[in-house]
Amino acid sequence: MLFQNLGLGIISSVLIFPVTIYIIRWYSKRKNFPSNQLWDTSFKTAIKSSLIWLIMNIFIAILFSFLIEDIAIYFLIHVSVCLICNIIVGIIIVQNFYRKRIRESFNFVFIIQLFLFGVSFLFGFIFAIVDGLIFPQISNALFFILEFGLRYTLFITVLSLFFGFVLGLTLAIMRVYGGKELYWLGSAYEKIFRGIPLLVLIFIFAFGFPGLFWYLKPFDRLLASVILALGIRSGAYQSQIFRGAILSINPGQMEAAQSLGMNKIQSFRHIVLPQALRIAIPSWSNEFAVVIKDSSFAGAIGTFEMTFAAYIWGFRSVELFTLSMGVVAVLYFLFTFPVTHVLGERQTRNLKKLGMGGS
Amino acid sequence: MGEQLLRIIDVWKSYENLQVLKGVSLDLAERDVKVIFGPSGSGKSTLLRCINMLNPPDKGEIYLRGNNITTPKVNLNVLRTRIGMVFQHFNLFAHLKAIDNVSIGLRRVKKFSKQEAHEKALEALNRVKLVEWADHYPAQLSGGQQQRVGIARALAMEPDVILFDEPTSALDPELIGEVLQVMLDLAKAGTTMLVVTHEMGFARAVASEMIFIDKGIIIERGTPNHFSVSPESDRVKLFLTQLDVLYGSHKKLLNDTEEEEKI
Repeated sequence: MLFQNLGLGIISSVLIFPVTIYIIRWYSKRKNFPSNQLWDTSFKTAIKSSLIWLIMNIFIAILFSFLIEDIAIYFLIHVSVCLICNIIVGIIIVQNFYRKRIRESFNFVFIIQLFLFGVSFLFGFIFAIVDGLIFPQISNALFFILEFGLRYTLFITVLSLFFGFVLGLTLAIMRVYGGKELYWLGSAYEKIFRGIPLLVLIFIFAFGFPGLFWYLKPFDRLLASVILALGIRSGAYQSQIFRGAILSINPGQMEAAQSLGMNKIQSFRHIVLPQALRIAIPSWSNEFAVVIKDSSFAGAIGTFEMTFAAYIWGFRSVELFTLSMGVVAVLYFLFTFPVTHVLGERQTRNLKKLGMGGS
Repeated sequence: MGEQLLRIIDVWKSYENLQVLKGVSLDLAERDVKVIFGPSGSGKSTLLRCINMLNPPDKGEIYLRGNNITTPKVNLNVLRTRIGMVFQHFNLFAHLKAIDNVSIGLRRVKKFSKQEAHEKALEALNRVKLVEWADHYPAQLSGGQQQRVGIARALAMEPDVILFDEPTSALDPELIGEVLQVMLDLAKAGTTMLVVTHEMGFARAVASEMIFIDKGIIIERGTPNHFSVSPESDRVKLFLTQLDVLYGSHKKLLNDTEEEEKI
């Protein structure tokens, strides 16, 4: 109990720290502080004040973990004491550093604390669930899925994405720069494998050609055929992504490179390819999301991965099945969302700044 | 006339059914500046692209320092390091900073070390007065600055001759001046240049000869003075009046329209 309380206090305090900074920054943006310089210096003091809060939160967590046994009561008291202390300390800091009146500084601190209260409550709730303090079944399912499924899902995803990347880039180069024959080859490959359901591909490689990976152990054979099927299909889609990206580069870039004396391969390697890869990143992040979700097909032939682990865990009753599927759905979302957000939307914005990728 | 740096003898070029160049010949001496002008679609750009073999000519010979460069034996990549090119639409490498745009040719083609290439590139940027913009991406530069980076990119390779393909025609009027100034400085420093442009002021200042091309044929050639005082053919006269209307002396046109309004 002591360690759990302590951990809870420390983790929530650590998480509060970046949130504070983010909120202060957001607040300053909304208020349109006239001088950036002034706000930069005050930003540093905000970090200092956050640090004080952090130390205080840890201290309170330790103190209360000795006194109170019940986690719910502990949590409530922890939060409320933190809230009151933070508000008092915050007002003093704002008053002294920013030279504001007590009413203004109270408003300032109160807004921040209101957010922090919600955030820390949410984090506390999530950690309590993960830790098994509330709804122990969820935590049970979660750790079962993570333990038996996560590494296979990531393994399948990373390998088949890499395989698909190599395949897709080769096919794209073949279609753009190759002659007629290579163009037809690449385009036929893409048409064929885009037209076959993934499950059928997996069945073909796993059971249609059982001797395909004869040198592996039986379980690894299944895994390998899943990776092969996913990689081959992803290669078809990725070839389209990279072909579009290469074609979107202005031919003038190639001409300029050649006018400097680069040969065709150098021009492609140093000028066209770097730009094409940058442009391809947003669409590629979508491909990542597709592949990580489709790795769940591996469960259909009995390969362990997250969905199959959830299936096994929830097999005992309908309620448990709903629960484990809900958990695994959240897990897939947590893996896809950050990637599609950072590589997709952020990268699109970055590309616009470089004047690439257009509208 | 001593040894000619660049000799173009009877160059023909066609795109599919369209004959673009029908036997163009011209010479360019060392430290010489020549200006080519003419209406759009007349084959000026094609001529430049024939010279650095981006579009090899169908017929005719081009000699660079006495070596025929139109024979298949010539290594085009080595050749192109000796012929710089400045493009109408800049064609800067969008993923590289200004300094890397200039130094990439030195590093990848001339195999300079990173340090050497960097110093050379800074030198070239200094000649176009853009040293303080070295760490900006092309999208962060104005059109004029981008074109100056383009010039620096060609300069850094230390070519025998630099070809300018309408370097100012994609720019706002306000930005043309800075590019022309850089080109004037280069011309005065003795760079051999073949320039396709309609900037008559630039031509008058530095060109030793002006060449008027229409429909793939050289219609008329002469000193800038010749063109401003007494152009011979009607086609050239018509073209020059149209240019005049564009560049300022359009009072006559305005008067005409005013008279029409009065009527």
